[in-house]
Amino acid sequence: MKFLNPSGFWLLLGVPLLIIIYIIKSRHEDRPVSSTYIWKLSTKLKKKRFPLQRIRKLLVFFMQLLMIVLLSFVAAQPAVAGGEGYDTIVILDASASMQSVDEGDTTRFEKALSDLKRLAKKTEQEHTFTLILANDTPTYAVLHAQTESDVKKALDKISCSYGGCNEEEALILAGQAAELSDNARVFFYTDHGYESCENISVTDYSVSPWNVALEGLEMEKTAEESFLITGTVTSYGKEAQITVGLRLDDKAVDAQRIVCPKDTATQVVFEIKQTELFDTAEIYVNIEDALEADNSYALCNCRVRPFTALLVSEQPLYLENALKALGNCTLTVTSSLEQADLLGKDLYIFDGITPEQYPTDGAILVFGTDHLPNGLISGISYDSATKPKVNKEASFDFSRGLSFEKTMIKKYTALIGGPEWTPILYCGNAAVLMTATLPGGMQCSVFSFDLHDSNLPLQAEYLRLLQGIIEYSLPSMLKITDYTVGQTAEVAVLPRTEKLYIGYPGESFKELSVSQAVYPISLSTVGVYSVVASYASKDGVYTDFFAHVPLEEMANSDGEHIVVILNEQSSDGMQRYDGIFFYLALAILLILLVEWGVYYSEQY
Amino acid sequence: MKRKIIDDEFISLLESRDLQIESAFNGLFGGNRRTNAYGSSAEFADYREYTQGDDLRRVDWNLYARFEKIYLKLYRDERQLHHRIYLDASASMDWGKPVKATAALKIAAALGFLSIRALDRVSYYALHEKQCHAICPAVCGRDAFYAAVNRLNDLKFYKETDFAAAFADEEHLGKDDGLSILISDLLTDSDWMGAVDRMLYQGRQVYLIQILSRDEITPSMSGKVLMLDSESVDEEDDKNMRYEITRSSVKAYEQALLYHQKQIKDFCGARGVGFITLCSDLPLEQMLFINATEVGLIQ
Repeated sequence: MKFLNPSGFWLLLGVPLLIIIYIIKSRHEDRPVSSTYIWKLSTKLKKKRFPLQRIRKLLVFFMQLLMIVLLSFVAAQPAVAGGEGYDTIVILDASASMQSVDEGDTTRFEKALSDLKRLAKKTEQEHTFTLILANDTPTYAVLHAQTESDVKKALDKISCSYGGCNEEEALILAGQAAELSDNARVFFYTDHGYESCENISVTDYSVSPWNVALEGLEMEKTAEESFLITGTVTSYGKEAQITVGLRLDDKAVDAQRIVCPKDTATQVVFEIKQTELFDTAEIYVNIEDALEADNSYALCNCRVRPFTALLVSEQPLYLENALKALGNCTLTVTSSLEQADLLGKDLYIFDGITPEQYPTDGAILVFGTDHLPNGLISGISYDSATKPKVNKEASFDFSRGLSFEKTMIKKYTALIGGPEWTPILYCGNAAVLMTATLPGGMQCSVFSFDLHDSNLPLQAEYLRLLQGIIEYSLPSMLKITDYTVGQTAEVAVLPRTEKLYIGYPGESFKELSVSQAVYPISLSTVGVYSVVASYASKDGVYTDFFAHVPLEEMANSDGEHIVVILNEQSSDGMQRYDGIFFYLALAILLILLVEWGVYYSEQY
Repeated sequence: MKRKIIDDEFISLLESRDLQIESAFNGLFGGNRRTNAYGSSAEFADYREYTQGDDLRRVDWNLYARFEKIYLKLYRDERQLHHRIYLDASASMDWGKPVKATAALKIAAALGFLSIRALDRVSYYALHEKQCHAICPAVCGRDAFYAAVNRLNDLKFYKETDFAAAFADEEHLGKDDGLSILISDLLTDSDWMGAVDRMLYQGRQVYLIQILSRDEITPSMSGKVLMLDSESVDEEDDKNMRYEITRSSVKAYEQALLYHQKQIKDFCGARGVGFITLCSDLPLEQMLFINATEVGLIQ
């Protein structure tokens, strides 16, 4: 027999305590009496009626002793090795929260590993061992291993992820493994506080620690040439005073001390007064909490990357000014197609002059309806001043909040597009600005009115609209820059890309294949990733993105969950025998309660 | 403090009372109690045929005229009885509120007074350990009685009493000449029954008077106690008792006391011995004129 929780034997200290209590209680007060004759006679008569009266107190004492011993046994969780043997299937939670350190320097995952190594010793020739590593994409770490060394080799290879735990998939794998076994038992080592079911016993590693999690970051540019950077911080497990720092492009610029209520998301707002844009904003905390991986959060691609543009226009003033205001633009302006090089640009703008063949290696903006891209035709032309209005059904960030109350467009043509074309602006019922992603992956937007026939370039909305469309349309390797570990980032391989690299957090780089249009990158680490594309022309582009711990993994305090081991197996495959002790102790307690009830009814 | 067991009020209470003597004793000459013996009193008793030498003054001539036979008239004799009062002088009697000893001495004095008022003699005996010693010589007459009362006042109650050993000596028992009254709490393992039997064997009319204190009838103790018996020698004495007194154990005590008294009653009933239980806190009038009258000790 083995005891899974030997500290339960501390309860045996109750035995000497009980004895001391009995010694103290058994002290008698001296009382002189005339004679004890009748008292002795009464005890004789009592003994005749209740023969066990004499040993009643002794019995109660021994029952109390026995109860303490039994309860200490229950607490110590006695177990013996399963008699018949069985195949062991272990699902090991490898999610980010398992990297939490509750006490000492050992993570929950390491504790689970050491438990697994003990369990692996019981692997026999007849009984196999299967380990399923339950991260975002659960896999068999070892399947039906028959020797301890096989299991240990597998255990040495596995590591904990920074992602979530796909329990459903892991259970399916466990079910598949169990199908090949006559007598399999499934154990789930986790810290998520799942309850055991009939066939799965759960070992919970959560100890309700304190964890501060940075859960989000947003940036807003204000009119006063300053930025409001708002972070979301939550202190799980207890209320805490936390200092949150802000870094812009790896340069610490500000810090704030805030009080975080327990388990409640708190906003921390930094107001940065500077006109210059930055690439990456990052908030961070320097504290020793349970999980370190969620102590920073970054916002990437805060400004437009450098790009090259070709403007073909006879009157380029309005567009040229707008592009210059956008910044980071290497602009080539030409007044005719003959002088234009329709290759190697990130953005092509055709203002009233449209080519027969549109370029395929950059975003396209077309002003005019002479030669429309595929899937788009021009309808009725109008010649009356009309206020444009935004298509509210379109989900473009840049068009939200735009108001054209003071804008009038005089000459315009209705655009009629296929389903891939989305209207952005209407004049009356006629779509005058539509956009679509062309088959080559490039974004194409068509304005069916002449800027010179409207007062739009004189309005404030002009720059916002144009810059919004350009930013949206510029070819980008990543549409999203905020990922969760476990997700897959899809990197679009831009035209002209000769080489593509990805930089992982920790500064390791890897070259990616450029043979496919989209390159999937599985995210397994927390931090800022960089994707660099180099062109044959020796220049190139790069983009960053951030991968954070899944939000559900940050809240790794699972104290509210109750873990109930329903089957008779202990966590390391031992047959637990504490049930019988518990019920015995309960029975004795009931007897004692009855006895005490009788005693007090006699006494009072 | 020296006891004072009698006063004038006490004497006046007893002036109209007398001991009730049911048995016919031989007694001593010169008393006032009618006996079975034929004597010279005025109370007719029987006839018998004349025999030579009889006093002719006692011949009933009327009968001779009717039957032509000579019969003599016989008369009862009046004699003096000798009552013996035994006081259990063990330590347990010197207990209670008021102490049982005071009640016992008052009863003994009252009974003694009633004896000497009826021209009987009375002897007081104290039972100490294995001894039964006379507290004073046999009392006859009021002066001697008051002297005896002074001796009673000085009586000490200590140790325990071995009734069997104390009554082993027949010298103080007397024979067929009066009442034997044993006053005790009877809370003892000692063979008091054997002592009673010895008194009965001597042809005496026996009364047992049990004196108990209120605390002995309804104990007021509770909790875990080491009961130190008043007759114990030291703390380790077997007479002492460790006990947890609960409601049920008090009930058991009361039942045991009733059981003990029933045993005494059964014993006394089987032998024609008068038995009376008195509580020491009762007024003397109630003890004598209600309780003692009920059992026929006093009339």
